[in-house]
Amino acid sequence: MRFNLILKYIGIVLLLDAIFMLLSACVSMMYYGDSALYPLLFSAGLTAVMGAFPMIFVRERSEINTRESYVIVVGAWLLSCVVGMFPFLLWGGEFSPVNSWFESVSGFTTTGATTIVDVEALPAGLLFWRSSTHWLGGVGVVMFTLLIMPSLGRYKSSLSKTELSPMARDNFRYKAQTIATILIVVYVGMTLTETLLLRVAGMSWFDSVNTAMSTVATGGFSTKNNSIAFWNNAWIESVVMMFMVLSGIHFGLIFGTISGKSKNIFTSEVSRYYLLCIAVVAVVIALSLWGNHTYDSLWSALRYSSFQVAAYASTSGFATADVNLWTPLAMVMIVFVSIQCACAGSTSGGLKADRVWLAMKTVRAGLLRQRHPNAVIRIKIDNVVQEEPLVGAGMTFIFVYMLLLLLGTIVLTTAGEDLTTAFTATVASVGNVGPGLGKVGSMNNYATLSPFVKTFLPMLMLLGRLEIFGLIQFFMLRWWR
Amino acid sequence: MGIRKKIALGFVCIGMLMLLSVLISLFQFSSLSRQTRTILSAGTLNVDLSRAMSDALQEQNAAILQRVVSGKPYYSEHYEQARARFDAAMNEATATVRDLTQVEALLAARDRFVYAVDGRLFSPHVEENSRWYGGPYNAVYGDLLKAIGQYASSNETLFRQRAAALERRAHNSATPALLMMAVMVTIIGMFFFLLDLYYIKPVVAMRRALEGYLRYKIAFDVKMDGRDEVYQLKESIGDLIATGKSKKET
Repeated sequence: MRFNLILKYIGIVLLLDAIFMLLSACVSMMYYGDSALYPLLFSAGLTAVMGAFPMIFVRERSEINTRESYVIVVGAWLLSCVVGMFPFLLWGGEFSPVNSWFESVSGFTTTGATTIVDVEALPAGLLFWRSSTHWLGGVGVVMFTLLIMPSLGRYKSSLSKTELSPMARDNFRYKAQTIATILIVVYVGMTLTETLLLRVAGMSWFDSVNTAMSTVATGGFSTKNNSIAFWNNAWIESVVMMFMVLSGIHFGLIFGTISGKSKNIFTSEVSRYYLLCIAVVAVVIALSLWGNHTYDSLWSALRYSSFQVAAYASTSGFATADVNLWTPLAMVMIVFVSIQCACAGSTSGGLKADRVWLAMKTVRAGLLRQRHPNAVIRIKIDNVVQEEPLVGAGMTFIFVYMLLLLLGTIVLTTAGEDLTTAFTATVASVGNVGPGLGKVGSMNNYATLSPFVKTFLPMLMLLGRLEIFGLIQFFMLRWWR
Repeated sequence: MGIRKKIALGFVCIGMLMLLSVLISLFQFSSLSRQTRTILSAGTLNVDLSRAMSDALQEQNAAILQRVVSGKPYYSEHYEQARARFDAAMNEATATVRDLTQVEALLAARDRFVYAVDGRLFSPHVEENSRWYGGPYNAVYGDLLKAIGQYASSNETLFRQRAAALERRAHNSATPALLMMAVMVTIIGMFFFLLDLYYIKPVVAMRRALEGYLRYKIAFDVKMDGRDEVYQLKESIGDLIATGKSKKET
């Protein structure tokens, strides 16, 4: 393990964080040097010094192996979360060390859960930094640096292996650099388009930019205490909903759809399953809410249910309605989409629709095998045969994911939380969804939870963001030899 | 970049962080001490003014009592002086207070007191004056005394708020220095690791290789990452050995 190279590449990621801190400081200056200016400038300075220091000594350009790339990715995430705390800690107010850690991890993992009661009291610069953590986290700090690190050359692929979901890689057989380019083009393009559309729909420029950054990253940090409900504007909701759903789809497929390729959103089995799932769940919830007279008309029920389903399924976590007031059936459906989440190759977290689709096909194949013991049954997705190791890895992931949900629920109930809050907060953290039910419902926040819980949940967020095994392998001692 | 420059740059980074840490701590703590002084002086002023008002009121009361007993139609000079002192203290309290609600009750009580005393036409009968003194006067006097007491204690609540603000300020003052210390420790760790990797380990390896060559004629082969002076030294030693070998051969 060559730690000098690892330090150098993590340093590049930290420099990128520092650039975004400086951008936030510029926003602060635009707002007549609000109270976030000094914390942001100071944090940018510290982060830049830490990032640039290894470059004084480490000049060489050499190959990065898989282990080193794992350490770079996980180290970059962890350190980004640590330096991401600096502006919050320095600003003070509601940001205690625990809250700052929670906010930073929640930002970089694109979870979007917050411990801040009065978001509107935060200065513009700090709000922009919160959204930046989402934006940086969404694209993956490491994916970002792949494009600006020409020194990596042909070894870029080792880094992207750990950053991109393995399912996404196997489903989409592009070269690593092509994946990175597509990701950036789609990501930046979507952010700009959404900003413009939100501005046209009636948001201010500042809110548009922040909301777009949060939506495309499937984060969920809002500039308002009541999230998207603040505007009570059907156009804004429609724009945000459309981009939430789109951001949950494999970026390569979005690129394929825009560029007229045969493999696109409409031909991919997984994206069709994901879109159908959102539509069906939204309609079922709307009918349930309308039948229960939660809303006056079916249209209102459909408006709120579709937004919330899109928010939970894409792991964005924005809110226009209080899910805690919905029917039990609606709540169960919301928990289901929170566990399944969106597609691999997007910025969303969770189990991923790909794995659920694969699991369904595996169950079907298992049933067919029982009926025809001598038949050769292959599992195919988009006419591509899924090899046994891949199917096995998918099933193992689902098992470990469920185990993690159970473990998280046990820990949170032990810490004194009620079952609904404990289970849904775990689901929302591991899946990087943001809101859950109970105390952490769509219109609530994580402020009331104990400091222990607020320290524990970020670990689940990191586990979820790094696809569980990435972080586990990082901490395995044998692996470091 | 040569070794000298690299190491100097490393030390400059650490030095700059230390300097900045000290400067920020000094700036923050001087600001904290200024704020503490302001709060303490505000508290002292409040106590002093309350005492001055209370004393002046007692003197006015004594003068009024004299007049009630003697039945004289005019106030003594002593009363006028005490009243002027009371008004001066009252005006200072109004001028220095940040939140006017703190002195609102005091101002109202003072106005009622002045109205009751100035509007009183004293009769030559002591009993009639005593009834006034024990009745309406005693009520406004009691109110004013109570208002002075409230003004004195109002600062306690303010003190609590200010103390909480001071605590937050102290936290905010310590945070930059603590963060800077943490970053500095990280950089010192990195510095040590990189110095060891690029300069100490290669020199040790060269010494061992040279010793191996001199004792057992093992080939002088040291692998190195950088292309700086240490690398050039290794190359020079390699050249020297090669020259020595060729001389022997000839």
